[in-house]
Amino acid sequence: MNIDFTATAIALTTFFGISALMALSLNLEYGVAGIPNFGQALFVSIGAYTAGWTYTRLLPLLAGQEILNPCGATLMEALQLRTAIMRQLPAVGLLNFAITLVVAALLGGIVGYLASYPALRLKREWYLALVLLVGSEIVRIIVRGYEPIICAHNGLSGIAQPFAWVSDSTQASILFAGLVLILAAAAYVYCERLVRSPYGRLLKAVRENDRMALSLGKRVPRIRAQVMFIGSAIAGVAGVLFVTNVGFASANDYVVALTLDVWVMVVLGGLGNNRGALLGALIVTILDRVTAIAAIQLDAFGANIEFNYVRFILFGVILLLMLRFRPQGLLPEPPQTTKAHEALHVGETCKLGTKSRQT
Amino acid sequence: MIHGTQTITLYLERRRDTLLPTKLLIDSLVRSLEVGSLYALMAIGLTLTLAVIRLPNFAHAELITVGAYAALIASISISSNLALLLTVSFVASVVVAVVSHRAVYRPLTRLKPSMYTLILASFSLGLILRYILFLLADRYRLFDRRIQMPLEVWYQGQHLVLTNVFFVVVPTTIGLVIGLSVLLNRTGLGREMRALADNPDLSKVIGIPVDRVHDITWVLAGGLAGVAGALWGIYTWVNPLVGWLAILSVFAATVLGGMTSFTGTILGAYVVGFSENALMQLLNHYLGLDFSFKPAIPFTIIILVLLFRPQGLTEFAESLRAAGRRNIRQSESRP
Amino acid sequence: MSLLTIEQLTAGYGKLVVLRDVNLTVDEGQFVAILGPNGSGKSTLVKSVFSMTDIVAGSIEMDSRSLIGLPTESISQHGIAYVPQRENIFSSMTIRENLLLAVRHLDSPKAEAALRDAFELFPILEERQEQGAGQLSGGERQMLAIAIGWLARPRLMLLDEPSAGLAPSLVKDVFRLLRRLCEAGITLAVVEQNARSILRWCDYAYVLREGEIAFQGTSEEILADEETVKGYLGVSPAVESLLH
Repeated sequence: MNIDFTATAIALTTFFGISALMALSLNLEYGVAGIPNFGQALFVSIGAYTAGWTYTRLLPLLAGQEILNPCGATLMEALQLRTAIMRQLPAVGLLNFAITLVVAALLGGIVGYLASYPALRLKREWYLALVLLVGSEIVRIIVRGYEPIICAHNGLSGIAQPFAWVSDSTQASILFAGLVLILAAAAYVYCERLVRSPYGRLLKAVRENDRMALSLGKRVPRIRAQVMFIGSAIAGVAGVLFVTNVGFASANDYVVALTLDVWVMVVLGGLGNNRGALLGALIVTILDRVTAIAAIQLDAFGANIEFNYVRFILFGVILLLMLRFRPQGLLPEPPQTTKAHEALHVGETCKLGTKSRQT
Repeated sequence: MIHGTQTITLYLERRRDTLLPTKLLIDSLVRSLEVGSLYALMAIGLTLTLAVIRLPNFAHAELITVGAYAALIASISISSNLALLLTVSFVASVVVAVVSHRAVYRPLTRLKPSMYTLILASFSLGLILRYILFLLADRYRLFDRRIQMPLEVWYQGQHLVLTNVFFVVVPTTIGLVIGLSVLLNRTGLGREMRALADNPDLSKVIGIPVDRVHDITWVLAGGLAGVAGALWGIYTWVNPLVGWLAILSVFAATVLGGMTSFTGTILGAYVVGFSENALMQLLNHYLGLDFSFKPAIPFTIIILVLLFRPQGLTEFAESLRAAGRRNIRQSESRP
Repeated sequence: MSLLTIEQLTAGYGKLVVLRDVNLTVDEGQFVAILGPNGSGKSTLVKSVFSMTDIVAGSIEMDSRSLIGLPTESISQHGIAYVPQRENIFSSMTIRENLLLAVRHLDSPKAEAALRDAFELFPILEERQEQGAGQLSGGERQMLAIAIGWLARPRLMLLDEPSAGLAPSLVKDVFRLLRRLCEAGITLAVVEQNARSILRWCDYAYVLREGEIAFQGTSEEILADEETVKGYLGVSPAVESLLH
């Protein structure tokens, strides 16, 4: 069996860009600010659901067409209509896509902002991890059962990428991959500048030592909420790209396994290091592709091993080995050079010796 | 009648303005009791590891699944003698639990990791175990199999049918739960476990052998999860996801127990079992809530309890236990 | 004869060094106080005996046997009990269960006998046996904590600020009790900020400052030389006892 290397390279690039956005988002939240977002799938899914909504309501509206119910009897008609618009009216398609990105970022940000609220009420810090995990599952279950969002468990197809109007499909996917890379690069530059700013040091202070952060007074919850806004906005954008890349929105894509994939990227690359997040995203994307290709090849040879399973085992093993033998990741967080941080560092090591870190 | 999916499809079309049929109500209550018992068995182990070892063990799910598969394989290759199945599943899950403690969690704990690292580690371990089971199930065609145990009707009333499954699942669970409560509340070992849960530093200072108590905790947590998995397999079916699909309901029970109270956890398990079955049946019948929303019920419980009542049912459980102690003392003082 | 000997001890937490070159000896039957202002390393010193700190250099010997590197849970086997300052009881369990934990290695009749002995020393605990330990008042809590340590029948008891947070009259009760224990043959090393009160009860005292032994002597010597004490403790003991 032949592998189309151009197509593989384009797909790899696109997936890398999308993964990088998710990883940068989680790295900002957990790596830098210490917020354990075990609900990353939720914030990514918000982008997907936003796209589901704009492609079925906003898009026909912008094109001056009638809005059809995308789920019931008019399912096929609605699908054909949005496909036709995306193919024939580039301006409308691009405008719709741009609006989708903005709305998804805002919506993701707002949900992230609200999701940081429970942290104020929770008795123990790690409960937030459980609340976010469970919250993301609740939303998934609701979307899966509630038709108007993305046709419940049937999902929604025909969410074309914004360059679907380009007649050559390879060119179209190259354009899309380029767009994804540009967005990922922009997010990287933004995160990098944020982390290096005084605000970034503040975030790390919140992460390192809540007692010290207490002296910052009421600002801690607000800072956490702000970080969740930024991180979740990036995740929302990633969600839009994810769903337009595959062209199909299904609540079943946004399960805990997706969240875990993003955690693998961040832990592998190095917590608190944006470059690490990119590296982690790259490795996970490549492993993903390699296992997928291996699965196809093995299938052709008639081997009776489901490689999807091997992929999950592999990811689990990577995560365990990293946590045990290289918790700082492949690219450790660069040390801060300010005197204030040195003082903070002494406080941190002191804390490690006591049990306070364990609660 | 016992199986959820059949009842769902049968009764979905029923009109909602009529009263819920008695038979359906009783059925769902029986199911609540069965599922609640199984959740209790699963959740006690989770609470144990959380309280004594301070580990939110998401891989507890796979201890359940391992037990289910051990029982399934034993029932296919040896016999479906209940005692044998439960023993095999107990042993299998204990082995997995102790190995994961020794090979993964204990070395990791020495690094003094944050709680999030431990959560991630348990997720990873669960992932590995789950997909190893997937590979095995794939290889030997062990998907969605029921443990070989012929279904017999043991009791038939006007509205109520009870099968042998009910009489296996409920008494076994209740027996084990009582046994464990006695162990925890009335023996030295149980006291040591609770001491470690309460104050690990002081426990070490007064010389409680921490490593040994941890090992025993894993044996208990793993063994109970294994037995629960086997019973679950008798009750419904076995596939590599059984534990994973149950684990957040089990977490809900533990959360209702305030994360540390064993009595609270058992009560919580029945609350979750009741909410997912009888309450869901009522919500469906009277409010038209679709059964596809059922998994959201335990999740909602988790969030609401953590946000608004982090102590869960502990106070209620404490008052029950205090009443129990009073009764025992009264009966002791009157020979 | 010296029971506990600490020589050239340098210890702390991780990279943070708290104690430097500390030498300290507790003789059999002595009641020793370890004094010093907040942050001087008093608690670190007693925690080091129980392997709860990171030891950089030096030796700790009980009865000429080294304790360095032993796990915390095995220290009590050497006849040492430690009563921490905070979280020194199992507050989710009953008082009786707390006491039973302290005599866990004894069989049932012997444990009952030990508990009866404990109730003679700590009568307040007997009537409230079945109550949750978390409901105890500060003074009762401290009594329970001391009882837990005492029930292990140690030769040496280390106490970390047993008077912290107690009303002055209760402080006196605690120290009087400690004196009784000492007279019954238990060697005591007590960390205190409440210098003036404890100096009336103890035999010998060490004054720690910034991780080093700044001064040592019998309680008479220290009381007689109040100026020195003031200097080393930073604040006058009288003011201190008001503060705590």
